[in-house]
Amino acid sequence: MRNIFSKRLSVEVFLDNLLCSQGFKERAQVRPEITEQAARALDLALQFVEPAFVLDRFPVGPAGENKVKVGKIELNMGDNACLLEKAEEAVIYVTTIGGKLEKAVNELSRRGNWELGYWLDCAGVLALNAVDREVWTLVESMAEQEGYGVGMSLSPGSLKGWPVEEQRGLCSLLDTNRVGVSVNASYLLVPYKSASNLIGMGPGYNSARVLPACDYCVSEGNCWMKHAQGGA
Amino acid sequence: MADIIKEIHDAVVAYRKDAIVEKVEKAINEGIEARRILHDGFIAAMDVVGEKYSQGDMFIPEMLAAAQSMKLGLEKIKPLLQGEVAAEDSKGVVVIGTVKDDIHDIGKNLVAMMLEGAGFEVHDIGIDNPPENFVAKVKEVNARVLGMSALLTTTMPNMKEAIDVLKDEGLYDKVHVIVGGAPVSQQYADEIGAGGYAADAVAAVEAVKNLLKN
Repeated sequence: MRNIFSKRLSVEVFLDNLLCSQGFKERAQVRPEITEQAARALDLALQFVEPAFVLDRFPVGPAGENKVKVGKIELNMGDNACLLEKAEEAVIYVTTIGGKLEKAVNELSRRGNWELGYWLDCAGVLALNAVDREVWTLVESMAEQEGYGVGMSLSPGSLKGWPVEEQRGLCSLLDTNRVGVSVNASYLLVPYKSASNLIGMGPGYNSARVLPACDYCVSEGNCWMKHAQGGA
Repeated sequence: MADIIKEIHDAVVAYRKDAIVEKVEKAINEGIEARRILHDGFIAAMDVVGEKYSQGDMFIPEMLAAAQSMKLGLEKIKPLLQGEVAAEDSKGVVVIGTVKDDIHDIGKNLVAMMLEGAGFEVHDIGIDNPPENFVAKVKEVNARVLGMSALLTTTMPNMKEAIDVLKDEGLYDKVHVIVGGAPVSQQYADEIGAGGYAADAVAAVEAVKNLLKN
């Protein structure tokens, strides 16, 4: 398989999730002017979001202490290398919602409309997460067809001990230009509302569902993505 | 506190954007000095907002809504303030922005807003600024404080680059540098020669006030 890519993803970001992500647990308790701004941002977000992803699969093997060989490259994943011990293959993918939403956020900020800009930015993050989850579903169905289980979704820079500098190596395995994504001098994906991920697959994994790596995340579970899903 | 000042104060805390302008106009028509509206109305209100946020009684969007309310009111009194404000009212000029390659401006916006609410003159130069941008703005507005924000470990070093350029330009001893952002720490601030560090927007206001006392 070589670089599956798609620009035909749907993005569903719900108002309740958006409110929840910011600490507002029940819509009935939120002041109407707050809900109105969030809803306005959501409408804008759906106009600007251009979801796309590029994905490929590679053989996986150990490459020394804390290192994993994925395809032709070695990734220095720190202690997280053990999370791929059961993997026979790794799915690498990059998701994006494009750059239009970011531009709109920046323009709103520049004009001093921080409130709407903030909500739009949050909606963008949730939209990117929604794209990720669609790709997870695709990965799960790939694994199921082959009788494999799947590991957690792992991302350099988000995972404790896997530095963001590894982004360049990981992304070199994919033709990210096809979805308009590149890695800049600070190892960040541009457009910024993009994400790179690696998911291990193999018969040794018990899980049929891809899960977020919250226990290994630099945010230590204290992130508003978790709130958005109704978590603590 | 005059009733109308209390109403202005409460309207900001409750982010009543629909009511703030009317209340400020009423206060002006009653002959209340703009500086009093600023201090007892806006600044006092934003102190309460900051406190509520720190205690988890207010969320970021509410804090931003309160700031937008304050801004609407501030626009009304700005022309009056220019003729009225004494030197001691001006707490200082601050330049603020995110460093090169960093576009994460929510924290920076919150800090700018809280500083403005606390009576500082804030010049926000936005996101993704090379060192030269910071230095040019510091020179242009004769700033006493430079605030830099970075949300990523890979963009943090750009703070030091900006400080190095300040040194090259002979401005380092004249400007207080304060840094912040998720990966930034007091230790890192010390390492790069930033005089101040703040973990959040409320702490930033206190840190800037402390810097200016020295």
